[in-house]
Amino acid sequence: MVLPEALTRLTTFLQRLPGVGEKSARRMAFFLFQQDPSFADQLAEALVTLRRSLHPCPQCGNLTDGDCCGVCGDPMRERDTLCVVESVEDLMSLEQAGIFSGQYFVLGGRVSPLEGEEISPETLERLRGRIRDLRVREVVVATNPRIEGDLACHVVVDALADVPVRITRLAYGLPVGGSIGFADRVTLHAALESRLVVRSGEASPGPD
Amino acid sequence: MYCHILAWKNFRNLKHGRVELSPGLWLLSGANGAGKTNFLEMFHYIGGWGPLPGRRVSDAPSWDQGDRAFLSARFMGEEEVECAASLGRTTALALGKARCRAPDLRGRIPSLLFLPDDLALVEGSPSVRRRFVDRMAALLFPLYARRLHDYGRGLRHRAALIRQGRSPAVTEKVLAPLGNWIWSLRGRTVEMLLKNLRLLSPLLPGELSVVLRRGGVSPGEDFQGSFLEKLNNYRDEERRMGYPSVGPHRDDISIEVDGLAAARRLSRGQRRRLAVALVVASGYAVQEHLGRSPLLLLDEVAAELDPPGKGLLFSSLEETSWQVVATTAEEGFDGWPGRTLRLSDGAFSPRES
Repeated sequence: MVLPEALTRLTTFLQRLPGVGEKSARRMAFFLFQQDPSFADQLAEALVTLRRSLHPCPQCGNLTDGDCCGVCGDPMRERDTLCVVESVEDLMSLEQAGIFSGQYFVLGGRVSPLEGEEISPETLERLRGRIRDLRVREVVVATNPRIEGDLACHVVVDALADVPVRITRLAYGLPVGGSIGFADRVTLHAALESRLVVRSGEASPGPD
Repeated sequence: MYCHILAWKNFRNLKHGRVELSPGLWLLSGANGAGKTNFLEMFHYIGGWGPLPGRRVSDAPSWDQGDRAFLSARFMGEEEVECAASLGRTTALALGKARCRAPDLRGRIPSLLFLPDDLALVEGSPSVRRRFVDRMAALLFPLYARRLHDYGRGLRHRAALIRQGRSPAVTEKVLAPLGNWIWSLRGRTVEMLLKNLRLLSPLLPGELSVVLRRGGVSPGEDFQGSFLEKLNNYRDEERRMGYPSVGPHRDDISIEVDGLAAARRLSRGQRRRLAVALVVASGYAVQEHLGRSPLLLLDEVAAELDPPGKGLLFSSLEETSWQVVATTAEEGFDGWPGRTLRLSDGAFSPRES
């Protein structure tokens, strides 16, 4: 059956969203049609506003609708630690976890020559400038634990070769709060491979 | 471990069915296209190995019965394990009632598959021997398959950079530690293989040596240092070949008998027997390391063997006391020390011997 053109057009757009297939797109289109007309107006307006008012923060690459983002503009945050992430989604995950109180820098992609993705020299130069401006003492590289994330990590480390700063990377292994009994074999093996030294081998004096 | 019950729905030409198996040796006979390899493939999926080489998971559902195929199985032996797989455009696996990842199944229900090509282990190309050792290593070391995949992807990224006329230097920092890690575990796997191979002296034609030859590195050379150095030094050669001349992707497993290359020293029949010994030794190594007996899947591997070779294979398999599922296009084998199921047009015939 040939669907009305307006419905087909909307479905085609919705299908371009991540994780949305043909059936889901059609279901969403029907849902939108069945709502009160004001819902579609508000949705359309929200989409237009999102695109018009949001832009990357000139300092860190986070999304903002002002001169700088909420993180860069927060005077209470630490300035000597900078976390480098691949995308704004990664930044938001870390922020929602509420575990990092330093500054961020969004690379805006990963390094994947097969897909033609790379980190531009301008981005790396901005990162160097940001580290200088903030007088950062530690850079935490929080790229994803896969080959493209590893490549991105090394590109960042190379770019900072002459910058006197401590560089660390996120660890991986057992999930916190879980138990060894429930961990899968791959995670256990990875955790064993990246085990931490608790004591280097010399005996310490016992308690008196 | 052994498979006690296997049930399937909408799987390739086997459609729907259920089979109950006991420990020991099982032979599946049937004409070409009867569904024998499909039957083996179900064990391959349920053991966490995915489709057979050269096949795709999207082809698992029967083309006329919906878009997903379902498998479920109960394994007994060292422990009782229930598992299931739902196959279609994506794969979902379950262990007990919880979803799981493929390596979890591989460790719980260790299975080893051997295809007709695997009998060319001795004289075939290095890639046949690498595949053989990699499969063993993936069973023994849970992170191995993941890292090997990462290494392959890293190589393709490197080739893409060279094609684009850009410096591949950044990939060296990722590939060198990955490659050294793979070399180290491949080396351990080969040592375990050799140790177990020596226990199978009746199958061996002489004093055997099995050694990992690291790709592009001379024996005795400091391989960890060489990898980085050679990646750097041989870029022109790499440009010509399309891939680096050094690294685990160029490894070979050298098999020698009485100091001579086995491929030259042994007759065709002896080479086949040695290949059988390698298959059985890999099973023993897995059993020793994981503490559970493997399930052996053999697709038409006896086709290339002469009658004495078949006799030797059968008696070696019988001695293992593992569950073995073998296929043949012949009516059956004289002297097969197990049970035989007959398959025609995707259905088991009621006659079983």
